[in-house]
Amino acid sequence: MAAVYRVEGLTKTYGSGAGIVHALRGVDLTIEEGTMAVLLGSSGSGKSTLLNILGGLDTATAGQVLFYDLDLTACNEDQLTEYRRQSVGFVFQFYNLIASLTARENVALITEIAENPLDPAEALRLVGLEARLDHFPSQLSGGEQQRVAIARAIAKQPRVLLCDEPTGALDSATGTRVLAAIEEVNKALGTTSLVITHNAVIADMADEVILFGDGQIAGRRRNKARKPVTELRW
Amino acid sequence: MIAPHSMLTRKLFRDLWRLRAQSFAIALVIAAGVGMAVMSFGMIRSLEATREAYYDRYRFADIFAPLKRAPESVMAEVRAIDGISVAESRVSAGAILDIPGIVEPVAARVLALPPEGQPSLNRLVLRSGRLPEPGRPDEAVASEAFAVAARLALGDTFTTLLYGKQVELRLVGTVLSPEYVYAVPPGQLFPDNRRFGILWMNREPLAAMLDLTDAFDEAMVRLEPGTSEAEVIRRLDLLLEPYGGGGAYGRDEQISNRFVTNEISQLRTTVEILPPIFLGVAAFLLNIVLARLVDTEREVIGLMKAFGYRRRDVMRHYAGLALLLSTGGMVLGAVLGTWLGRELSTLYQRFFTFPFLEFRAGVDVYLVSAGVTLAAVLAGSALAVRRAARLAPAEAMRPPLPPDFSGRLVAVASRLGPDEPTRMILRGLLRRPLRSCLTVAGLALALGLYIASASATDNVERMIDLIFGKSQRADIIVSFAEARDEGALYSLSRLPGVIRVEPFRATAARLIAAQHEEREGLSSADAGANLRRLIDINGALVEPPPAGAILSRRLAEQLEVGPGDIVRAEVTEGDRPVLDIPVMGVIESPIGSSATIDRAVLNRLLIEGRSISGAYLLVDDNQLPALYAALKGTPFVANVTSFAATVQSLRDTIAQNMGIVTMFNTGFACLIVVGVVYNSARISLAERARDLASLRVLGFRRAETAFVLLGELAILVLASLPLGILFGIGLSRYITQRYSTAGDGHADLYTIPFGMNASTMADGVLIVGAAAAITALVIRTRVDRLDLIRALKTRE
Repeated sequence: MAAVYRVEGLTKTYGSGAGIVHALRGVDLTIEEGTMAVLLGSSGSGKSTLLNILGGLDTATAGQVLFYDLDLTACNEDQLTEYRRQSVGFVFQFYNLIASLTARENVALITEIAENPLDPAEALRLVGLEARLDHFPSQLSGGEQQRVAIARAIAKQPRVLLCDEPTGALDSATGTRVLAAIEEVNKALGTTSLVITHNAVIADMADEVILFGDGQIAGRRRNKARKPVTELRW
Repeated sequence: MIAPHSMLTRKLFRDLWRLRAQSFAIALVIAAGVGMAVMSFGMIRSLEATREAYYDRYRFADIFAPLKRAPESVMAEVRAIDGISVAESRVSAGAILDIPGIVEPVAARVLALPPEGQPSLNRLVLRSGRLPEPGRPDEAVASEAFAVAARLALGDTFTTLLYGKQVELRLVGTVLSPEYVYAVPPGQLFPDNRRFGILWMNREPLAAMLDLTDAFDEAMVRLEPGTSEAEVIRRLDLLLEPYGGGGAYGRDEQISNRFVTNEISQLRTTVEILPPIFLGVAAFLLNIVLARLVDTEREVIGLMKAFGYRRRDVMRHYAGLALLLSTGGMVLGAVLGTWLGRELSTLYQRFFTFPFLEFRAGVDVYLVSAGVTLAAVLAGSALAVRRAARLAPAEAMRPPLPPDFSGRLVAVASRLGPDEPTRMILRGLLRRPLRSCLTVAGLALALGLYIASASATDNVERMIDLIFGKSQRADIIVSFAEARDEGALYSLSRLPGVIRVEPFRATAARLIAAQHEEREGLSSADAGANLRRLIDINGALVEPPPAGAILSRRLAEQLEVGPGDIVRAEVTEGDRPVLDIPVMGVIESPIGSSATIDRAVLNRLLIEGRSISGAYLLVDDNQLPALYAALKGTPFVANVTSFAATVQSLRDTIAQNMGIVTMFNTGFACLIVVGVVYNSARISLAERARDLASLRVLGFRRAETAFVLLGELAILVLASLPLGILFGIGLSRYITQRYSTAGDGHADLYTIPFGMNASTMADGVLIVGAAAAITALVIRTRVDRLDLIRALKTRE
């Protein structure tokens, strides 16, 4: 199976001199195609920094990140924009929907600029929102908003789906529905998915669990079998 | 109100620092408003105070009573009229001067000085040299502006053609007179100091030349306080009627004073229009900036209240911010206004010759301007401050719901937008319709302000074109001292360089209809004439009717007559006939008020042969020097007006002054545009930062992302353009109307036509567009520098 990401010696520091902060301290990592991976760690462990660099939102201080053959660490800002545009789907803790666009339009926002998109309605159906197409974010619950965000992320049929604490702002029942949507997408479209969380329970839904601590990978494990999201409780 | 050491005060100053760019933009707009108010009010104050002091100190007459000829003994009867404190007689005449270095004949008004030197009324301010010595027939003093413009030095002599007699006069001094603060040649609007001057010489020699020894042709009086001017005028008219008088008038009709009054009225118009625009815009900007601040500080407000800060503390805090923010603008405005006022008073000194004109606004002008500004600032911030005060602590600490876009108005936009970013723009605009409208209104005001201001030049150009291009097309007007037989035309036509000669007849008269009475001339027009034609304000030719008179609208209004009515004309010249003249038509005429009659008809009415008062000449430019030389030596010519020179000097004067005013107003309009666009864009950016960052994260390119923000601005600017043009046209029309009818109802000096050029509108659009584009570029760099990660980590 081909590697989607190959990360070598990835380092990220903020500040300088005595005030220097090491967010990442030489991370090595490979993620294979179609994997559902969960990055587990406490807050401040560096997992979001890694995700941001993988997603082309941030740049590394040292080390290399290859996305297939594309060296992300060598890309300038415009090249990173193109990379995000073509290949990456994002889901964030606070949804980041455009308040002035309906659910369908939020998705269409992406399908308009994607090369091989799903139909927006189809993407929303995948996350169980076929009945809420023409609602504005202000008319949707938090869970529904997050599912729109997932539909928006997968509608371009990205090669990777990066989710940063997608359930962080949601209660357990709603969070489960959101994770189910991510699981469904991973299964149905085969999209490589990385989910960041500090919630250990969520790790059970993954093929692979990467434990993060103090800017380094503290451990990795493969689940023998992925636990269906519907069985997760926290 | 603001405790210096409290934490809230610290917050206040830090907020102010954080908002410094927006605060600065608002402060500039406030400064423009305050500056205009201080300048205009201060200038009105200074002009009025200066005029009053000048008139008082130099004893400007209250009433002028011109007449033909009266023996000096009549003055005793004048002095006997109740309510007159001082009365003085004098003699005066028009003259033509041959000034070395000036080819064209120079027109002059020559006034007599009494034997004791200084007259008791309309005393002179000696600026250099001395007054003529008693008994010297050849000495004269001249108005200072004329001496400077004509490059006359003390001791210079020049030939004066006075009542058909040539005399050599020597300049012994220069003076100013309260009677000639604004020295405008007869029948014209702007001073022409090089070609029109005022001279004073000893009475005895002047009277001898005018055949007025022991007689006078004008009486002037000053009234005792509390005296009815109208009553004194009535009695003077009765008394002087047998001597060719009967047309006494007060200061309100004295030409120089009228121009000063007119100028003050125009300044008042400026104060009425401009400062309110600026303060209105400033209030709007404050409103949007504070509203946004309150939005972003919901949690802070909740926290303050949770800690026990009272409602009024919160209100005080945000109102304090607004006030602090405007203080800079007010101080800047006061400084700017004072500076502009000083510049303006320097400019005025070129037209209005006061012995002193110092710009003194007075503390109350500053206080009132500050008070009005504070009111505008508080009004502008009231909504936001109230919202801050009303936020319940718990509600304030919860994040606000995502803005609601489900309204019906907003839904309309979904059908309009071709793609999602366009829909974002349209919905953003429609969700806050009031703010969008106010932004458009602010920009439209700026554009309108520029257009109205710049079009003043167009209007005056149009007036020049109407008067000198369509109506008054002669190169030279020659007036005779007294009406002559038409045969004089032959002499004129034989002068060197004269291509065409057309005669005119004009006579002074009192026009009476019911209780209304106006001193106005009757002038002639010839059907088919080429050099002088009767036209209306639209430039349409009006042929003189075969009977009766055409009146200007203003004269008709003053007399309250219309076509078909009869006006009684008491001619104040010659045999002084009294004529009943039917009004055949009323036209809007560009200059002055007038009654025009076909020349042959006028001759018949005056029971005279084919008499003429002068002629219009079309001449060959190459032979002008020879023609001028010949005219200077033609005895029956009392006055020569050369229009080639007049139009040029008029254009120069206007270009110079309008240039300065337009420059100021262009700057002010740009200030508003930058203030409005910058603040709107900053607020929009703040509100949309998350959306824009999300777009960038989702793979939208920088230009695509900036499109959402700048597209919104572009729509607002585009929407403002037609409105701004309409507003500019309206404002220009209003100002021309106000300027033409300003003052005391006697501002019948001229009617400014409305003549806006398309290029002026285009310039306005370009200037507003450029100011908006530059501001947008500045904002765009901020869109490019959005912090993507932070935007995603923060809650809405």
